[in-house]
Amino acid sequence: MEDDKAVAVSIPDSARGFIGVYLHGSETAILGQLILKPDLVFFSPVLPFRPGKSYQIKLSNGVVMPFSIPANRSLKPEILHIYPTLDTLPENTLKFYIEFSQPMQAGKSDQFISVSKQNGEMISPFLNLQPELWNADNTILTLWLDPGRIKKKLLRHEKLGKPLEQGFIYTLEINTDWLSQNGLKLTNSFTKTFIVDDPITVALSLNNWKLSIPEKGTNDPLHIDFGQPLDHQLILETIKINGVSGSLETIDTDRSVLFTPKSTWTPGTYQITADPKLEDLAGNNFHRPFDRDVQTQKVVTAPKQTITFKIN
Amino acid sequence: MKKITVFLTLCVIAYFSYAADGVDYTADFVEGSPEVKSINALTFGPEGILFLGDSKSAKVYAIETGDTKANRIETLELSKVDELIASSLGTTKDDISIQDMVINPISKATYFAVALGDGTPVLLKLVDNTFENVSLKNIKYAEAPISNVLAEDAEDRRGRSLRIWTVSDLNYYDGQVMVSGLSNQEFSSTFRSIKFPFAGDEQSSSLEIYHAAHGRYETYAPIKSFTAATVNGKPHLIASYTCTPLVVFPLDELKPGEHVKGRTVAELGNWNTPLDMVVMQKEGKQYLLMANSSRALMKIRFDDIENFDGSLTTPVEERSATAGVDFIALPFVNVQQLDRLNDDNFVLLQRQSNGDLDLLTQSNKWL
Repeated sequence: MEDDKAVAVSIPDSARGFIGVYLHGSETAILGQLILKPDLVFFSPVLPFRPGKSYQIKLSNGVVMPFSIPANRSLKPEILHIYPTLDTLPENTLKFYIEFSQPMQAGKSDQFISVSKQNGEMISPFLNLQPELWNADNTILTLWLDPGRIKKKLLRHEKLGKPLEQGFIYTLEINTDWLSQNGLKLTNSFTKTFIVDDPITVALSLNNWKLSIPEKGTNDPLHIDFGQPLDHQLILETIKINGVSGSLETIDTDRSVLFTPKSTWTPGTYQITADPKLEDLAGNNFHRPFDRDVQTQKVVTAPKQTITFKIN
Repeated sequence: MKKITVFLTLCVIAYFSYAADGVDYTADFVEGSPEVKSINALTFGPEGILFLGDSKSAKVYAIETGDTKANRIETLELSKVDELIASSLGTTKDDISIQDMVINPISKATYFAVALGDGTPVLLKLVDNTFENVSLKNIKYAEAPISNVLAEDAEDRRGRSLRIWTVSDLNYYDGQVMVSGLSNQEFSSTFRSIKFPFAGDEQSSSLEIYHAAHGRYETYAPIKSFTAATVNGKPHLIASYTCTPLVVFPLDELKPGEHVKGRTVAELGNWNTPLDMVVMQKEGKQYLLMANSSRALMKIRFDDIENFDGSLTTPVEERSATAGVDFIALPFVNVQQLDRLNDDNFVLLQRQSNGDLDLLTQSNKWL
């Protein structure tokens, strides 16, 4: 065993005429290497033997030696969050993020996620992407609501209509058969029911932001109220307080963020910067609304957005 | 004596491989074990050099396969490919996914990038209908970063990277490794072209490509699959988008940091995602074959692409309902992977109606 993985199986001394190691019930030998040491013979597969699977060592004299790898005892995965967390979403909502407690198997999300309209009709609002958009440790999946159907005048928009329609209630359901990378099913199914409201069609503006400034000498968080919910992941990535290290935590269904400094606040002038790529729930950023009429709505090349505040 | 003969033969081979086009492709390769974290796309370059697109490491690896013995193979047929791959790896087919399939243009061996359920990548080679492991340990290789997008990487409170950029397709054309990708944060088209042999600190081209077949509203849709070929006598990128259009871009206009306007030549249907494409020739004519998620294999004549004069700003309404060049649906559905075997044949990895995933060869009689 290495790092809890079965990387080799020893072949008993009596084993003469080794043919191969097989997954139980399979006629195809597992790829790997037979390694001969003075007092030991073992077979090392290309990839570790899989937890929960049974194998057989086959010899030329017809002897078959079975062995099994115990199922993984690690924690069962669960769904921690689905972003946006709101239950009223704009009609042109662009992304959902699903956050799991354990790394999940990729490439099969469409088998486990379903979306239904209030009349029971099953719909397919998401863009079918392969490879799927997982973060590095496969715990956060990004799903795009089909932008070709959100953007006006595109053929998909014209033929298939918008992925979500204003005034309707939808239920997103994730079933428990989705396996973690350790081969374990989700602890329970998850549903998110939401109602669809007006679309948001304007670019972001700092004018809507409000600050609650902490006292000097404290570690109290700086509270930034955006005046509207923004994209959860992009808030965490694009907002910085220059020269101050600390952590960001979104609250109030991603309408606000709390910045807690590592050290206590000292008197001085501080600058909040937001990358202009920060988006609201509908993909509108500081440069442009997500869907714009190129003849009437120009792209503004917005610089880094900054707000200055003082602690006295 | 035998040793000397072998040595001389190797020298001669080495000399000819170096002299073929004056480029020593592997001069800067190092020996070692690259830390490949995922293999999302494969493509062959010159002299049996295989490129791997690794989303998790945000790198392209060039590996020397040494698989350079020319073979003439007319047909490749194998049933239940996924079952055989899974069994060869000691697991079941629900525990693997085939990320890409390419045929070595020299040896005609078929290479598969496979991911295990736990994300472990593995590279396999099919020779005489038997799978072999292509070890990535102690090999000669070179690597290049795909993306400077990751340079400003941010982490969440659990220390996880937030920004990801997955490789959607990879091709080698005329000394360039070309990579298309998808970001989890911006709906944009990012395309990179990296000179090969990799030149260390050289900047790769970073492009945002947009099309606007619909006139008034733009889209920055990401490229799903692409190939490079000569159109109207000039090298072009032919890209199919996640949102269905087929777009051509002159390669000489793709310059670092510039926005390039592509020419949308077709809208190829709804509820569909392009999966793979390949260029074939027959009787001096070129054809594009494209596999799709929910439509049959499509055939498009290059003549039609060249003769189509639709432009970026032409609204869809002014063209026919399905807009653009004609395509012919060939009678092959559920084709997941596609590659050229030789001048006369192409190979499909196709999910059959009984659920089997089969490797099949079709000839250019379909062109």
